[in-house]
Amino acid sequence: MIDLNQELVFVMDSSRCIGCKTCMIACKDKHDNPVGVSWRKVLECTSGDWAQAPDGSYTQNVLAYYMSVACNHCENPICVSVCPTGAMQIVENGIVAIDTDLCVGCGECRWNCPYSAPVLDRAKKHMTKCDMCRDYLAVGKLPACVAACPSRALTIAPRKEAVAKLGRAEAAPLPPSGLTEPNLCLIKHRDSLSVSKSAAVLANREEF
Amino acid sequence: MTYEYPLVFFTVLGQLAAGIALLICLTGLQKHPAEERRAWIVSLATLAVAGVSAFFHLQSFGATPFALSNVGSSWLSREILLGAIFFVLIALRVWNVLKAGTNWLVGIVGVIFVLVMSQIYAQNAVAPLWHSWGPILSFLGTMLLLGGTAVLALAPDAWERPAVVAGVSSALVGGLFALSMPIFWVGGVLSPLNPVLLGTFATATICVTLTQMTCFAAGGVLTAFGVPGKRMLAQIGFVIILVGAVVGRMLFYAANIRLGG
Repeated sequence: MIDLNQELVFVMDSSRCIGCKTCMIACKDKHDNPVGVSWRKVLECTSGDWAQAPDGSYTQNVLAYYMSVACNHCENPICVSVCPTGAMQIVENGIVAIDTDLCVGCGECRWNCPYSAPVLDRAKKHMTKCDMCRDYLAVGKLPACVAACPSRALTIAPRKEAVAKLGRAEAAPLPPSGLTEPNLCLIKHRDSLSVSKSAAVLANREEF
Repeated sequence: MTYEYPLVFFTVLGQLAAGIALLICLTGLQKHPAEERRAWIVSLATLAVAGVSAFFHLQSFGATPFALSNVGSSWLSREILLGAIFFVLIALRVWNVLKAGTNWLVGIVGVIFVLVMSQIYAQNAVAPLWHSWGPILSFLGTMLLLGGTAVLALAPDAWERPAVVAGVSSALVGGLFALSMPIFWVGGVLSPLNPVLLGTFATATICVTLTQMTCFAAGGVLTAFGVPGKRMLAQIGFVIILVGAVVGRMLFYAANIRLGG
């Protein structure tokens, strides 16, 4: 068990993820989020086609893989710098969290976040987002999404070591990591596509 | 596609207010105190409506006083600060606390307000169709177009020829800039954006830009015929151009097609 009182990253092993969305459900359940407010998303990436050969046979290069993504508590969190009221803050251990008393719900953070992580909760009248379950971390428990993952595709790890070893997540359908330097490490699926194809492969856009 | 109606009206009306302030200065409207005062009142009222409209974009108001607390890095904070300063300056002109000699200052603050407003979109790297010089040119263009036609509609019946030329020139240049946004979108579509969304957006761009051009042309013709003493025609022309600007701004907000999705 790692020390949870330090800067952490989410590590997503895309080759293990089966797209079951247990992480999403665990997150919604823990934070009691209403319909339409999902802090964690499981992106379904699909690509490829079938081609008919001259002899009448078919070949295919279709592929599919999943990626579980929430707020990545970035090194350069653009949401913090664009927030007009200072509601978006970097708190203990590099976690990016919202001071809900200061949030006016202008949505500027969501507009600028490459991962669209902040989500407006219309009932609460402010933006909401993943805080890495900082209350759980404080008492030595894993974030709800990590604890719930049945295939252990989603884990957390010490930030510096994991980023040095795995780099920051860079694969479709994610945007280029250079925008905000996300604290998300990715073990790529064998069929992972380049970020330059990011928009072409997201198959479940309507879920978000 | 989403339009963010409160922001559509906030930005268009904010640019109209700034355009009037600038054109009062550029056309020398202060030579006609009654018309100048009326123009300042219109500018102030327009900015007030713009501000009220912006409030509808927010979800809660309790923390709005803190919206100026991040001026160091947030363009939205800067926009609110500049908007407030601009509003106070116009109010001071309406009540003649500031004299006509300070019109240039109010005009410049209005232009800075519009420039800062445009940066909120131009600096957004996640929306490639915004992340360019397009919002800057388009917002400044709308300011010049609406300001030019508004002062022509508010001008005295026998306005000096150089002042009319300044108003018409501003409107023409502004109209071209305001219509320039699709040129920047050609570059933006090279980014890895969703092809289905881009296809829908391209169709909308053609339809809306043609509508916008029609409004600008029809409004421009009416304003041109109305300037020599037929103020009602010029005012109808201005309203048609304003409608064109609002329609164009709706398309601008629909251009928020994001990387990674």
